[in-house]
Amino acid sequence: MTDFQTLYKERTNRMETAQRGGIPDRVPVYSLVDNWAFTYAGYSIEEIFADDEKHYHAFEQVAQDFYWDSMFTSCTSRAMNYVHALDGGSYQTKGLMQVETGHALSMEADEYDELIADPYRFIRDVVAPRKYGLLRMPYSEEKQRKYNEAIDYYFRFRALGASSVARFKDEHGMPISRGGVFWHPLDLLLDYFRDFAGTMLDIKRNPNKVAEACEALLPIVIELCEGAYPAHIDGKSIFNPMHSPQFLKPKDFEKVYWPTYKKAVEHFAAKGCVFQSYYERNYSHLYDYLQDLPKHSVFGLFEDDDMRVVKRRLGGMMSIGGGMETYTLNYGTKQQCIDMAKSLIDDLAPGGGYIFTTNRIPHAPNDANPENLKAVNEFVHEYGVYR
Amino acid sequence: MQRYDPMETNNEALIKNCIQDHLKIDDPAKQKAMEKLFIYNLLN
Repeated sequence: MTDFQTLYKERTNRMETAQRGGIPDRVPVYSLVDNWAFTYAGYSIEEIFADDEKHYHAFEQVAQDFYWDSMFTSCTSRAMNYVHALDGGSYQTKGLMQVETGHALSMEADEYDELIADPYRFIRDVVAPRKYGLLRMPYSEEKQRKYNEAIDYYFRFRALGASSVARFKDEHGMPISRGGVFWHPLDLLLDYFRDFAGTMLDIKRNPNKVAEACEALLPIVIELCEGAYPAHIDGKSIFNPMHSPQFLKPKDFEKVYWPTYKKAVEHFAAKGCVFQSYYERNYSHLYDYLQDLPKHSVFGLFEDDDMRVVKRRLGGMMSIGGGMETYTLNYGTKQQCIDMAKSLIDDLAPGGGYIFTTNRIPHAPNDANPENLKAVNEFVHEYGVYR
Repeated sequence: MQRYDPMETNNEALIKNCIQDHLKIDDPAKQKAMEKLFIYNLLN
């Protein structure tokens, strides 16, 4: 076995044990770095989408320069060349990759029944022409040629993802945790159909219809997630960014989000998979629900929650990650950062099930000062040993 | 919001032609799976 194979196995076992709620040999140090990698490596976002080798190199630089036991991703999450070739979409690459306000709205409040009756047809014939210049053009040979070209970009992006995961394993012994991706149907409605204001109004005015749409979309999201990630692989998980619950009162969460979220987690738990739920902003109003999820099937990432309370309320049934504030990493001194990391390990590591990582996905250049990030990761690698 | 005539845009044929003629996928099960994937990937 090569050194990299041994390293990969050690890191995978560490991550798998911790994400199942167990006590590994040391607290895993987990990278949530996303677009931050580009600026760290000295590239603009335009450069990395023009050159796959630069795209790979940006993440490789992050893997090499900092201590990690596992990384969330080895490339970006959006095939932007494909989206640009379709001429539209919600995301723009202006310095950073972000959603432009109002660009997600592509469905009217009175169109739920059409979406529910046949989601695929509705997306293809109603939503997509509103989103993309290419999809609203009358059919022609030119339109076909351009669509084929867009699909080539899409497959090139997928190939970059697959090859980068293999290279990280073979050339650096680095596991990439993201096996599949699951979008909750309500988050799809918010991100791609009704935008924020529309979704929140729909939940107030017609929660049953929203819940019905979530039920109609659930089999699609599950099927597509399983297509990419059919069975559990140790150290990997299904990434599940949760956007809308932070804005929902418990009674609304119970109606429109919880039933389909619980079904999805139970479905994948029955297959032995781990759901890496990214609980954006604060979930303290929803802990009572989360306690009913299948035990040791969720690895919860928390942003603004008090991690000590999370550990007390949820630590018995899910593994938890987060706590290292990106604000402190960027603006604090090295000693302040190490003090914060030490306190997290002291309070959260006992009993296992804790994965050390940032409380935000580093996207922007000012999401972390590299020197501070390097110092805390090395500190946790040494200090986080279970004795 | 505007609606576009599916007979005119013919996005159904657009996607199916791409799978059959451009990607040369013959297996009907794979064609169907790819069609679903391509439609889902219009959510961006």
